[in-house]
Amino acid sequence: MPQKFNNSIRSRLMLQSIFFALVLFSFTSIAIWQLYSVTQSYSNSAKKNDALQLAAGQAITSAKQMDWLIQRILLSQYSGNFSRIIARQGELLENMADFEMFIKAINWGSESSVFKNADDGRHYQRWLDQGWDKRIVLSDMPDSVRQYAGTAHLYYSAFIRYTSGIITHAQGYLNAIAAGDRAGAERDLALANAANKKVERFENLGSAALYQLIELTHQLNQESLRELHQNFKSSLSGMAFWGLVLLTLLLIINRLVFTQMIAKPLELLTSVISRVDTDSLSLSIPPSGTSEVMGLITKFNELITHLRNTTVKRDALLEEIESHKLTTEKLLLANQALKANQLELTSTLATLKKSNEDLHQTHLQLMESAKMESVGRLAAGVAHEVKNPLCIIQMGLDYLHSQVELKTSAAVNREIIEDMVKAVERACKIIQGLLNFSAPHDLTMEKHNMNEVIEETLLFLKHLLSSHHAQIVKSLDPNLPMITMDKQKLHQVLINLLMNAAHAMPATGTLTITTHVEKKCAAVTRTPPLMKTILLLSKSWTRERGLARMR
Amino acid sequence: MSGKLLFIFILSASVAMGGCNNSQSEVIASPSAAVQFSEEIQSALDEERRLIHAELDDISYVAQLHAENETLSVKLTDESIRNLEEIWAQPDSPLTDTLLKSKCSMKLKQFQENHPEFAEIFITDIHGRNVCLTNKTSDYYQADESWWIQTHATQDPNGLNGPIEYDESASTESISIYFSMLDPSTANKLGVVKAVLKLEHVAERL
Repeated sequence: MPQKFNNSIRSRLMLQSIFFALVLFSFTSIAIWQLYSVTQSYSNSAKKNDALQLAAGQAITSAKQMDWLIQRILLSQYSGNFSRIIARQGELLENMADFEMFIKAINWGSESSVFKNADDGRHYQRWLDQGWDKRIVLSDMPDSVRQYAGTAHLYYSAFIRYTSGIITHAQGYLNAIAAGDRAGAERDLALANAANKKVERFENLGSAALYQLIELTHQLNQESLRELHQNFKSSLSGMAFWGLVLLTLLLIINRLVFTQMIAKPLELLTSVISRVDTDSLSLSIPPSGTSEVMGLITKFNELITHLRNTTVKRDALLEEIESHKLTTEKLLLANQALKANQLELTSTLATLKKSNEDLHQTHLQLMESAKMESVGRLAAGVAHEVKNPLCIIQMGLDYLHSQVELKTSAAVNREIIEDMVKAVERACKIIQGLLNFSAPHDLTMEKHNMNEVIEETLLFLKHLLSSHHAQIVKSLDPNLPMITMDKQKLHQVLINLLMNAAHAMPATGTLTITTHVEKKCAAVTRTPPLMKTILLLSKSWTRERGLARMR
Repeated sequence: MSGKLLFIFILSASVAMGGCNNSQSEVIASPSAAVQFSEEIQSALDEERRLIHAELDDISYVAQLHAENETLSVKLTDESIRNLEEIWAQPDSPLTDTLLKSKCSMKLKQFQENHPEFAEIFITDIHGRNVCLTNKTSDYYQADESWWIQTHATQDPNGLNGPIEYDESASTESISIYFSMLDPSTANKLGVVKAVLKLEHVAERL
């Protein structure tokens, strides 16, 4: 089963790694930016203060230079070189121009004026050209700096004005000397000296203000440095703090992710697995966590289900085996009993066989006895039948004997003799039949006419049927086919049937014997006055041409 | 376990953030209105002060201040001050227009034209509200400014000097002078005056 990418452990780890990398990158960027800002803040402040100090120092130096020149000009009056010295006023004016620019730079002038006029400030200008820092604006200086710078501006403005006055009065002094105006010369000299006092005063005040400015900017630099240290420390502590915060958050996220997605489902899985041995197999874990863990849980649940089903089947098989064992034991017991019964049956069978043989012997004996009885009865009939022919023979013979004496006709003699012959033949047949009936013989199958067999049988039973006053009605079909039979056995059957019929008619009755051809059977019926019986003789009758029916 | 860890983290973060904030806090000193200069500068400033004093002795200023002081018998509430400031800040505020075109303001502007060393002059009543002025000020109510409070409180009739400042509107450096305006007849305080002097003119007086 393919894992879904957005829920697999691998994808979550990848997303988590990307998230961690982004957080780390952001944190590092912020930290670098913060350190840069702190450093840049100090750098700006230091550069501004340095620029101020530079300009102030230049201004002081320039003022000192101008003061020195002024003193030289004023002192030259005593050395006679005043005119030569005054010629240096151009140098003084040049210094004044530079000085004014320094003062303007200090007082709200642009930073470029500082850098353009200060040799040491040229590298700052280069920095500015390179875009390092364009935020140096002197008008943004603190009020205290502004105060000193403004005061110095005031003093040096007066200083410049009075310096210019000195030069003007010195020039007036020279002009007055040249014109021979001694009073004018003295007046200009006095004014120059008075201006000089103002110059000295304002030069001192201005220098003091600038020294204070330098001291203040130095202090500001120190404070900026301390602030830098403090900010750096704060930034470091802040970075350490937020680093700890981020680390903690990442750890929490990491723990939450792994706990919720992996650890908890696995712990649940482990607890369920540990309970599987002792508890039932109906336990199931709700799928949760990553796709891998969910897949593991799903497979485990399937395994548990399979195990449960297998266990149920095993229990059923065990029960079946137990049942089979019991059945087998019962079968063994039954087998033993059966063996005992078999032995008993064998013994009984032997006994039965012996009894059967005995019965067969008895049956044979009974049959023999019945035969003997029949023979006895037949013998009585034979005796009766033989008696009559014999009587006839006797009478015939007697007649013949008498005729012989009376000389009767020859025809009568022949008839008599013929009767005597027939009677003797009948007596011979009866006797022969009796002999055949009584003599045991093997089964001999030959084709005979059933009507003849019936006629021969009736000849045997003529006397018996007469004794029972039975009227014989014969309806024999002359078209009967030849039937394969044991003629003697069939004689016995018919004799038994007819004897039984005769015995069933103790007073009188009509015995109807009918033969005809049917498709399926042949029948012999006997119809006593009040009852009618139908007997089926044998299937062997049907094998030839159908059943023979006898009534 | 995660909840406890989160709680400890938030607690430590709060403490740490508090420490960071404390370490970064700084005290901003209010600008002082009482600046001491050398006697030469002070002398120059006093000359200017005397000049404007002479101007403000005119009855029109006194009458205007009297009238304004009498219109307000109770102290302004913060809400009313806030409302007035909002009206004052509007570009074509009728309040501003009325004050700038008042008689005393016009007279003050005339004085300024005659004495260009003054970059700006304005007078408040005893409650700190603008009454006469040469230019529109950033605020209407001045009684919450440190210079006004210190000037109103001082017993020095010459008043106080302000620091050297850069006047962006005039593009020049300046020094302010503050003093209370008194009733010429009773010497009672009628209001407070602020006059902004261009530094170059001060330098010329040295």
